[in-house]
Amino acid sequence: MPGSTNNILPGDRSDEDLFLACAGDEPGAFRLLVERHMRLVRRLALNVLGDVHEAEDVAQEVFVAVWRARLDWRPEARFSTWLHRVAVNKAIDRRRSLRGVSQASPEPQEVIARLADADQRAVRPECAPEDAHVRLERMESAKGLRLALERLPAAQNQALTMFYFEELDVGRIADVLDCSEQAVRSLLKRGRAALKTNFQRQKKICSHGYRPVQSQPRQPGGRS
Amino acid sequence: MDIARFKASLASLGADLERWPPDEAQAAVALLAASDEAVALFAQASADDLTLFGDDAGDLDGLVDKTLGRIS
Repeated sequence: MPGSTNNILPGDRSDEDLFLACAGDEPGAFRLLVERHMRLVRRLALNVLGDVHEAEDVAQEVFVAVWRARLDWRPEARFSTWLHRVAVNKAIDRRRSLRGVSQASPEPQEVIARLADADQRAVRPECAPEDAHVRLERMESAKGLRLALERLPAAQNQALTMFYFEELDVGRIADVLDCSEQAVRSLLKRGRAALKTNFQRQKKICSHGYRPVQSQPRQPGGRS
Repeated sequence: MDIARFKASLASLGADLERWPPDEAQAAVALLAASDEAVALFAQASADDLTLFGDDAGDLDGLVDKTLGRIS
């Protein structure tokens, strides 16, 4: 789309515009797309695979496949819809090949691998300043989440805390709360919905309250 | 598994299939392979999880650079 992107900050350009620019060999357009979508693509793969290393490898494969398809791509649907389909397909393929090779791979080992990976990141010296920043952000968001949980009805708070912080499964939570698994699912569902509403309300307050103070444009790719 | 059941499970358990009962997760994977609507719901729930519960991945610049290195 020649001429259509004048005076538009790179971070404000649509995915479709950036991806079409990739076909025209515009330097930096694909980097912006990868930065914009990497976190969610990685998470999609992780949600299917349950293993950080596999998920990050799949995330790379997804973007390589997307890059290779850039010349044939037509903006008939949203770029993100297509990207998510590619990511889920690649993750499912990997899951199937992994489970085919090692059907008996036990879940606790995957959890240990994920924890070991997190530890490795924390002790890597060259990453120390970023880790401190990340840890601080994580603590802040954990604090915010705890506060939001406290505002929920007690049963929803308990169910969400046990599921997300103590990693109990629904059956165990049902035992602890002395209710049916269906009741636990209902508590989790209502709790998640309430948290989401809370978060959206906070976001709205912040965007209205702090906009006049913000003098610099947001950095692209800061949050996916 | 049909879309309605998948949607209900996402709403209560989130998008991390490791936290789902194994048979339900397996059925969800089969549905994801076949349904674009399921993929859209899954992507939305994954984004919600990131928003609500955060992400322990930290800075992804290294992963971005590694990815771009594979195409250059």
